[in-house]
Amino acid sequence: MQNIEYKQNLDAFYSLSSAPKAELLREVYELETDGCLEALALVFTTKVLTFKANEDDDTITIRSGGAKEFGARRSFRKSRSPVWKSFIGKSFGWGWITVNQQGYCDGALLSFDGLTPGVLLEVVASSIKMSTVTSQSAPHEYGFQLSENAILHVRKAGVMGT
Amino acid sequence: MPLGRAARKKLGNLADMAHLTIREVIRDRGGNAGNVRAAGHWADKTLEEAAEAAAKGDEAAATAIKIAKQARRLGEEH
Repeated sequence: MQNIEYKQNLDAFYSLSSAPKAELLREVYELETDGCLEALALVFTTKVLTFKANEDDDTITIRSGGAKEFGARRSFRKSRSPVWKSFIGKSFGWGWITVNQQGYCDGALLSFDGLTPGVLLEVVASSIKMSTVTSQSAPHEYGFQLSENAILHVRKAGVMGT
Repeated sequence: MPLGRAARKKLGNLADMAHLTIREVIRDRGGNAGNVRAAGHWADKTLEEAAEAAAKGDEAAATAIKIAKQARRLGEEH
């Protein structure tokens, strides 16, 4: 039974990533009920991804649909979360679902403009939590050199710039 | 005292067990000592207390509620 649910969730992502043209993220809407972020709607160029928290078992349900049909439902309001700021205008990459050790599909990972996850969604106590995923890479080494004609040269990992 | 709307929302269908401790709920749903340990000090508080705290933003309380909801491991026979 769980496998069917997993597949339906993943199919929602697939419908976006397999679209003939890139689906760009235009806006994110939230549905709050009794203090819980019950649902999210990510509106793309022609499609919408919806994420719903299931309050009985803290699992997540993911579906896709047409952006036109979604409209901006009155009960949803524009998200003010800073999580989405850097992804507006970017194309949907891939989506992942998270299944925890207890067997519950309780979250999702999303990537934009590539295949590295940038957003984590997780359901906790009937509410969707949103987090940004950042990668840590080794710091670049910078060198500074002031030449005789007073031009400052900046060297980054073997690359010279001015 | 009846459960507040925000607290009731936090619990979902566990609302009927709000008077029980999280430890009791975990055990009742087939959870183990590890689940109880993961709930931390909230294990010995009632679901109601945890739900009220979670509704006010207490993340540990919210986590304990999730542990209680998911205490029964899916795919295992009981």
